[in-house]
Amino acid sequence: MTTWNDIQQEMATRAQVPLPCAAESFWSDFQARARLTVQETPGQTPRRILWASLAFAGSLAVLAITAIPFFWAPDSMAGAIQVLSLEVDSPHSGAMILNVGSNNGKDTGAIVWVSGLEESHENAP
Amino acid sequence: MKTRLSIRLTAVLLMLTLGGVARPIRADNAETLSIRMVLAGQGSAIDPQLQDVAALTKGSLAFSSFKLLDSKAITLPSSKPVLFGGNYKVLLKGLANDLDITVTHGRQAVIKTHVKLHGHAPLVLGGISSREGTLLFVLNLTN
Repeated sequence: MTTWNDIQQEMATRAQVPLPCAAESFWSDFQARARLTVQETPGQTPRRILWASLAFAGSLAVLAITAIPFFWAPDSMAGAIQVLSLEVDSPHSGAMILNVGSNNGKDTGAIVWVSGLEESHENAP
Repeated sequence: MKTRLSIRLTAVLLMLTLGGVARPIRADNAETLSIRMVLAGQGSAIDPQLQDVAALTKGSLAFSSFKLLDSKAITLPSSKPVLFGGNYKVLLKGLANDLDITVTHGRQAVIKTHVKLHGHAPLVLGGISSREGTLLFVLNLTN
């Protein structure tokens, strides 16, 4: 009757299968091979990504905060009416543009004043 | 795990910052412009609705009385002329931050100006001398 030992011996002689080595020698061999390539410390990569993301988000927030005044004038800038052009077709003696602000800083605005402008009676109803 | 957390954190911060910028832009879209026709003179009566005009012109223009002749509210942009008494019209073109204003009397353009209005600050256009006093047009955004 053929036993398992017979089969194992027969296979060993035919295939020259290396016998399993001890655990200690296996791990020393594994570590020696592992030292040949650079190994990263576990957890290092995610932390780097986290800091990079935080830095990106922070700089984005700073950019957004600095951009807000270009899109939306706060109340402190509300009085800054800009008069870009003025044309007076009727006879007049002079014109002036005033940006006015009161002492309390609340009543601000602009005055476009044309002097010597008479109401034409031809156009009156 | 941490990578996902950081990506989510970045996305939330991005949405918050963009939301903060986008909200005021959207709020500015609906613009209502108030136009008041005012008769200024040398009396002592100041119309209660013209206290802001009196405060603004005090020290700059030599008027002590302000009478409200007419008041109109217009949604910008507006293509129709805004009609006032005395055969006066105000033509508006564009939005508040890029607004062309033309004041006409009859068929004649009296004052043409191009302005950028901000906030609720009034713009005073004047002054046209008439028999009763001096005419002013006061324009300001109301929302």
